[in-house]
Amino acid sequence: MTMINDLDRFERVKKSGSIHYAMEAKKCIADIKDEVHSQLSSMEYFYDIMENIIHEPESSDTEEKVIASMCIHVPVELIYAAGARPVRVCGGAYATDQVGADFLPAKTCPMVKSTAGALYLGLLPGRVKPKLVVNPSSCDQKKKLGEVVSGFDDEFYLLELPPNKDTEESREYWHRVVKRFAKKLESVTGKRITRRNLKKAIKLVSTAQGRYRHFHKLRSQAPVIFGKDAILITNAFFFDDLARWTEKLDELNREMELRIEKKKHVVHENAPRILLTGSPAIFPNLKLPILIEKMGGLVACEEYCSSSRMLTDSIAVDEWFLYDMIPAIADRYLKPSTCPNFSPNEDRIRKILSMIKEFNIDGVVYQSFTGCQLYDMESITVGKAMDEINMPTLYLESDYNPDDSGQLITRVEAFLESVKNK
Amino acid sequence: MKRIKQYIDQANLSRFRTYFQILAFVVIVYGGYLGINIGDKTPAFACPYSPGSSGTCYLVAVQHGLHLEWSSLFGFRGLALLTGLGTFVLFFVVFNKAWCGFVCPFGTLQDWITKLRKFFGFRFSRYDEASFKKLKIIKYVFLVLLILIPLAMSNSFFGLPKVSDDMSAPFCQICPGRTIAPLLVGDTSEIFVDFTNKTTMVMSVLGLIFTALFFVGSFFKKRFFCFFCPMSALQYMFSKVGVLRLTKNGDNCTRCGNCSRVCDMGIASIADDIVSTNAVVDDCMMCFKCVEACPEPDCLDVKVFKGNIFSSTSEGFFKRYGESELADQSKK
Amino acid sequence: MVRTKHIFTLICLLMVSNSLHGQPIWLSNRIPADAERSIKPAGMHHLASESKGRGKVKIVQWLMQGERVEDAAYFVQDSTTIEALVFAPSGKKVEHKLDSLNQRTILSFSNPEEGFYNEYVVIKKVSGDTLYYAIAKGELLNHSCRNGHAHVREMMPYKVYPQSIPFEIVRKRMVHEDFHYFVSSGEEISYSILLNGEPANGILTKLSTEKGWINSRRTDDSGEVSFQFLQDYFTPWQEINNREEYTYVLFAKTTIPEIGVFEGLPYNYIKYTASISDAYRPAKTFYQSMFWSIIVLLLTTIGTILAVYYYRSRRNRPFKEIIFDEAN
Repeated sequence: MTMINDLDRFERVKKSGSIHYAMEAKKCIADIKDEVHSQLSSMEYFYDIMENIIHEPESSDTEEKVIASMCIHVPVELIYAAGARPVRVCGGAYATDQVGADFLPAKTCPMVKSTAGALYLGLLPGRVKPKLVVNPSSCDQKKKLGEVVSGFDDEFYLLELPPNKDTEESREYWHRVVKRFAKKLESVTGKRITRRNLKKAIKLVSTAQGRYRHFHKLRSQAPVIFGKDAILITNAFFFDDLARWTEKLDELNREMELRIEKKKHVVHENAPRILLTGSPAIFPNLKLPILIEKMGGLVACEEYCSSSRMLTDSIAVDEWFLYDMIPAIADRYLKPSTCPNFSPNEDRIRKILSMIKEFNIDGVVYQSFTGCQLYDMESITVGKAMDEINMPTLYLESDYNPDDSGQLITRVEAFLESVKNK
Repeated sequence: MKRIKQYIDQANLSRFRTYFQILAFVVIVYGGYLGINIGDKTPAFACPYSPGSSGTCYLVAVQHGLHLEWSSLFGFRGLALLTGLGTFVLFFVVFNKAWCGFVCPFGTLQDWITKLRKFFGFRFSRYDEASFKKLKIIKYVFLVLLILIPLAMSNSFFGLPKVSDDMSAPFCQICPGRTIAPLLVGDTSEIFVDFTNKTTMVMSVLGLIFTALFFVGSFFKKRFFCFFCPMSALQYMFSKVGVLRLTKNGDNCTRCGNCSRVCDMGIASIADDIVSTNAVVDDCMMCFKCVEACPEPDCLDVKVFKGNIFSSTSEGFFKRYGESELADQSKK
Repeated sequence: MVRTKHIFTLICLLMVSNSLHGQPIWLSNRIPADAERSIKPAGMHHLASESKGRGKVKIVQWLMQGERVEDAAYFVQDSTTIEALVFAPSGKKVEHKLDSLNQRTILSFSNPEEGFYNEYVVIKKVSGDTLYYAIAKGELLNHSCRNGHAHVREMMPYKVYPQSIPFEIVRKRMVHEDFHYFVSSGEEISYSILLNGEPANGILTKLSTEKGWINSRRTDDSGEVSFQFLQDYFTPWQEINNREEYTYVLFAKTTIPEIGVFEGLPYNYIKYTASISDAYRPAKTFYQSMFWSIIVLLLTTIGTILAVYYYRSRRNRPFKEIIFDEAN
């Protein structure tokens, strides 16, 4: 373990890390706006906040408590109800990846390395200083990360996710875990979760989910927005103020509706419609969707946990009391989840098939990070399902290193050609 | 047309159901005083023990009609049984199991008791999977007994002595409807322990125990009694030919489980079964809370024959469960 | 020479000749021990019926004479004019047979319709300057739950036939009465006496029950009289039977001045005697207890609530759905 003991050196690494991170963010936004560009005015807000992801905020609200989460399985409604703000800190920057690589094994997934580096250096989105880092035991790399980085400043909390979501035992287990988590949150923030504030939190998140669903539906109706922009929007959800995000998404929806009416599309009729799935594209690592769209394809939809999987399921509560709201929240974060850490994961295949039908997909690009055993293993089952419907699929393995773009270009180009010619 | 469908799909069906239930309750429990008569093949608990009842529960006809000898069964009386059953089926298929969810006054009573529980803030109970599977059989046991006992009163089964006449209308004697329906019109004459002989003592005490269980049970568990109702078991046999239908399109289902979590009866198959199209099982009372709670478009549909009249939509879902005022949310 | 059997016959003749003047007539349901074997009690009210095959029955009634139910004798027909009238619930006249068999007078008719059948046996004789007009009435309910309860309310009210029956007793219906009602000890039953269709006041009535209790009252201004049925006997516990039925008869008599001719004989007065016979059951409070029912309800409610409370309080204890068998 080679963590940096010297404080001076630490500060230098942090400074260079933040500069490189900011540069990556800027480059990513520039790439998005380069050549093929959605040209939606409502997207400017999102470009803006994502570009400044690592900048020091002008005024920091010292009163505000932040709870960092490392996965979509952390119930954000509970965090809002406990008076804190959830920020998802899954890392997408190569700069922090390199830092994390210093003290993690070589074959670690780049996202875990990047997150570790970001936590170590304190380079989290919006430069927030979390009171608690919640780490669900979804994939084993993430799970073990908690132990390895236990020497850091931040307090880590392991959220025990069951490996199966079908049995009654796993559901009961998860309910108990979520209830204990709610208690932990209360002790961290010092604010009690009451009926009223939890109901408010649920409705707040639900409204955002409603807007996103509408956005999702609009994307299926006509190609009026690029996939890279859509992925950017959900990446903004990681850390943005929820009410403002919802409002801006609403504006975007209206602009898209106008476009659909006027039939102002961003790609040609016969541009190949691609479904992206696999290890998530996290800002600023959007090189794959940017590449595909540069080559003339359209990322019509994604089955990513940094995209649709985060926001398409919603909570239905029967009785607005804590005894029903908290199990309802727990159920929503377990039952419809298509994360490959659950075994069996039939739901993911069904979801992909339903998305293929809804979005009229021509080809599937399946990406897994180097070292991501879960997505690698699932590529077999998903692959079989794709073969059955004769859907052309491209399997890619990549990481955060920008040097492999050459190889990616070749493969993507070839794939898009074969899809076009089908 | 599309606007009407949109309005219906986004409507708050639960509120409509509450009002409909109140109307049906008044008509069935007090309608007799207004001269309303819906007949004696009613597929809901319209109890004839109450003087104000405007109809008679079909189970009464079953129990009394089967009190005949084998020889009569193959004669004119047997034919009368069949025509009675046919009339019942004709009444039933119009609303299918929605008789339970929208019309039955005892279902309405239980829903009101549930509202009372919510008022006090008590948590509700649920059956776990194993108990659910074992307990649901009780309604079939009741149904079989209420068919066999009247037959055993007129005929000797396997050379055993005939069952005593004190067991006449056996389910009516233990049914909470017999004690409660007259109470609703102010008549306490059915609340008694009958000391004539052991049989009457046991049956009347059982009836009182079930009455107490009805109230306490439905206080803690939503629609407690409906889980054990033999009318539900009888209705389910004819549910497949119903005019009103509840179907599921498994391809659109994300298995989020919202439907089974809001289900009053606790039916898990509505969420877990993604293969069958007919979503109505023997416990279902077609209250359609599941359809309201489904965020996926066109996953759960209420149909009349093949045409949708109420479907699950994401706009409808968010209207019912989601919306909040955004204006005051910028600073949490 | 006067022999015992002559005296016996004389006494019998005297008894018979008293038939009209002293002893009122009434219709009975109870089957004598030596009746035909095909006559059995049937239906909800256990009326004596003779099965005619294919589900058809004929109701059989015996004409009795005497004020005390237990001691009444069977009426023996002689030359006096006797006729019967039976009305169906719809008001139509029904075919009937009035036979004289084995020193008994038997009235029988079929009752296919649902509802109350009104049966009357009328005996008229002129003696001195008075017409003795005796009417025995029975109001028999035919009901089977199999036929449903659709029209019960319409068929509940009693019917009277003042054209044919000038002096009639009717039992007034209770408020919530339906076809499943039985007169029970302990209840107050009201009767209305109608003379030529109008309520008559000041009529002397007498209620006579099988268990021996007799009471006498006069009707009030609205022609009504009420009796509370008393239960002054105590059955041993083992013999309580809530379905036991006992006969009671209500008699009424009145004399009105009227001039007329009957069978060639003139009269100045008519003496009406009417009777209505029915069955009553032991008091409900004898075998039904609301006190104990409240106890049962309370115990069950409290017991269940406690059970749910203890079940819910075990939340913190470990799960026990799988228990291993510790046997070797």
